[in-house]
Amino acid sequence: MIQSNGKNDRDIIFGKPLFRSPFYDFFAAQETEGNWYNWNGYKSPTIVSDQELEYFSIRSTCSVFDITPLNKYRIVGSQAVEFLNKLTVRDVAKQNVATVKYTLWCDQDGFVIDDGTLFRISDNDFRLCSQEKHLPWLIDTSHGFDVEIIDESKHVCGISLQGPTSASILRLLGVNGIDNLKPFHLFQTKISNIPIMISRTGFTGDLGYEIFLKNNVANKFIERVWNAGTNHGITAIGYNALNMARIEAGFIVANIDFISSDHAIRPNRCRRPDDLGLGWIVDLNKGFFNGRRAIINSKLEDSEVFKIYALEIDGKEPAEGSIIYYNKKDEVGTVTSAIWSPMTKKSIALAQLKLGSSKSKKDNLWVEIYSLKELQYHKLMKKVSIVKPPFVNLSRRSACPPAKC
Amino acid sequence: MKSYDVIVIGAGHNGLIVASKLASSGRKVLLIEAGETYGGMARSEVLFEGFQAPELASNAFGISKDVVQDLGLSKYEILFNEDGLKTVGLNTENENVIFGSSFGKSIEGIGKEEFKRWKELREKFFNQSHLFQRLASQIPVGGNHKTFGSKVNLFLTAAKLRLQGREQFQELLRMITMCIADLVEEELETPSLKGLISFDSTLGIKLGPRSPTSYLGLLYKLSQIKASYQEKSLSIHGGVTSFINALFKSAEENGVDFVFKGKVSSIIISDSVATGVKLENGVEYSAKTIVSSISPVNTFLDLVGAQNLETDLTRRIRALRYSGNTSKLNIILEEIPKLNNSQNLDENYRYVYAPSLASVESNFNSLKYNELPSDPNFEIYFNKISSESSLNGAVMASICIQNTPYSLKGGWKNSKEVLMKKVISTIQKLAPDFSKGILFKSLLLPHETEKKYCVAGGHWHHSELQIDSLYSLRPTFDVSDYSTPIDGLFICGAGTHPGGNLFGLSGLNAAKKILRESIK
Repeated sequence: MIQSNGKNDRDIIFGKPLFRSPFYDFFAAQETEGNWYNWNGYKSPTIVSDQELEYFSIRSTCSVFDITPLNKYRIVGSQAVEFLNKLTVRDVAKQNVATVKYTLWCDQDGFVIDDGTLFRISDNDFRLCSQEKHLPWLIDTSHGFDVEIIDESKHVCGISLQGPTSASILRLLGVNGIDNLKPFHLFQTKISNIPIMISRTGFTGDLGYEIFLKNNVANKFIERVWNAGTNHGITAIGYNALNMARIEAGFIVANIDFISSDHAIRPNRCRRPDDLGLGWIVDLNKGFFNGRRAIINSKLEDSEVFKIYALEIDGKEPAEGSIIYYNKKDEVGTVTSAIWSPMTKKSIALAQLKLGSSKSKKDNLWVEIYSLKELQYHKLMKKVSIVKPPFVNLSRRSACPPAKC
Repeated sequence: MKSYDVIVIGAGHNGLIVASKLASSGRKVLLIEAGETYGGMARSEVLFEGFQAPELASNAFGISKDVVQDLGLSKYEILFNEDGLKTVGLNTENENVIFGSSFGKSIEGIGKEEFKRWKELREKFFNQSHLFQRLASQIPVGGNHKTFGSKVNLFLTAAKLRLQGREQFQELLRMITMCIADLVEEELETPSLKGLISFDSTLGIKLGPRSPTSYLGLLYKLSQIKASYQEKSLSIHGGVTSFINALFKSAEENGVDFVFKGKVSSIIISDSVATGVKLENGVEYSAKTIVSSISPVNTFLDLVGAQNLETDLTRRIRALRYSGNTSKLNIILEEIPKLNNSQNLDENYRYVYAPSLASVESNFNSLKYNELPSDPNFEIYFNKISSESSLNGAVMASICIQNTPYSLKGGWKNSKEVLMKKVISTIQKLAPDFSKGILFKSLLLPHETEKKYCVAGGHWHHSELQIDSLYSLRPTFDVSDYSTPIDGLFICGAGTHPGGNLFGLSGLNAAKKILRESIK
């Protein structure tokens, strides 16, 4: 029974009513685990049926992940570029039409409020997708600019197709131009007369596409995709599998790997772009933007701050939530995300560490892991080495045209 | 492009003070004013048949002594009322109280016991106003400004309050956030006295006597009286104009250049540094230091522009409460009217119609819901006109009407006349011949003030003078030390600490700040 709108689009089994994405029925029909979580007010699958299988569908076939719960803001108007240049840290004037850029926005202290992806649909038409809700901030920032901010989160839904066979499935669906679509580019097209916006983006570090469309055609669309993918190992996945892929790709998530300055209560929890390893996307020469002065000033002072690092850990125990020590005794930070990586066959982690400027500290880092083995904790002290993300770098991610498989 | 050391925007009293002070330090100063003449909201306008008088500022107590001394204004003629200003609290039962100068040092029309209680209360009020008086002439200590000296001063202020004794200090802590209604009702009985004190505590502020913190309005006023020539207020007859003229002459003698009818359209900013100003007619002037004496709302949102400011700051500026709540009615009469009891209305008095505390509170309730008060409260000054023209011997009544909504429910179109009639009919009840002699009348509403005097919201204080917008919170905490996030741009209007009436300390403090910055 397919009911996506009207009375039944909220779920009352949870303590509070949760929204159901237009793809809810599709995922509900697949799932066997009953493992759901609340993502931004939507009832979303943590695991659909089997976490490992789902993860390997990202790496070897094609995964389907529902990205509807993302916040989607449409930014339209003659001063959209000027507005976005004040809001975000990149120079939006340099972003070509039909491209997508990963970006950040900061408050007046240069602390990161959130990150997101900015789709330039036409000269004066943008879509900004983010993990957290920011409508008041966007509206307040737009004061004085000829620009309109539309929250289209509830009207537009999205699906992410990630994995080596994703391009082939789209070819089967008759998407012309998929071979010429370069990473971080987008175009608008139709699948069986359903208008979609398709971009070669994703959160997995793999070949993959994100597709946005109107809610009312969601069921028809997912049916087509699913049927086209039967011979290409198409698999519906939940958050856990995606999370494994994104850690391997070295992507950070707001309020998991860093605290949004909107949410931080303790002042020393806020992070600047440099601390997140994202200083390279900040364009200090583009003129004024939110946080610019503070970011410039922070470069002058040599204070010790927490920064995000990518770590490889000896052994095969995942180090989630563990504390990192210098010389096995001085605490220097905490692991924020960690898995045992099936691709690298290593225990990998993202962590926030306060190391200061001394280089020597980096060579003497240890992590204390409490490993539960049949009701007994084993306390392990494992050697940690700092590496340059991503942990997994796949050539098919950027290959153009993508391989036929 | 003409180049100066300093450009001051707005020739109100604060703008004139900054310009004069900075020019006296040897800087080349240009003062740009949108209007035809200097004086800002205290400037003189032609009102009727060539007769000129300040349209808005009828009178002012609290011209800061510091300003007069610092700029050496005493060599110019400033018309002070040597005897101080007495206030008559009017009511329709003809039981008027006469409130002596220096905020009721003596009172006629109340019993002996009542006066004794008032005397004690008044002393308490004045003691507590010390807090403001001491802080008024200091650059607020805050995020940007925390020099050793300023911290010491803050400490000494607190210490001095504490040294008044434990009981006094506890009294201060008890009273400081109270409403004026509770304080006067604790001690006093006479309705018109309570009405008068409530009126003075809340005039120009969007609070009623029963609103918490309305007592602060009174403390603020008293501290101004203390920081000025205590007993003296500006003379009703030309006092304001004489003060503004003195400021202008001082600026002129110090070599300030003036541009009138030059409305600044934007401040030129490159890389977060202010480099000059652009006028509406396209003319540009450059300077390393720009000082804006206009409202912070106009300065930041119109002249600097949101595209040059952090969202956090524009948020706070837009959240300021700056809707005016007082209107001004000017009436020219053939002769000074007589009161019911056949007493002449005296032109050396201030008359306040606020017959009771309840009346002031009900006026405020109307304001709260954007309605016209049913029985508006107001103050009147009578000012005899002496001129060559046929108006010689006529009288100007400057009437300041409290609790006039900025945006009235249903619009102002037909209600302007209604408000005027209400006020005139009240005066009529007190002085039956009043309306017979009316030659001219004009009412200036807050939104009209906004347009005519280029001040956002038409608020006399640029933004509300309330507990959350005083000292280092004025106009907001991050720009409370007169500097702004735009290098080279300073603010010095009434929207900055301490603000208020014709006090002048905002301008003087800002000038000191600028001098200190450039020595660095």
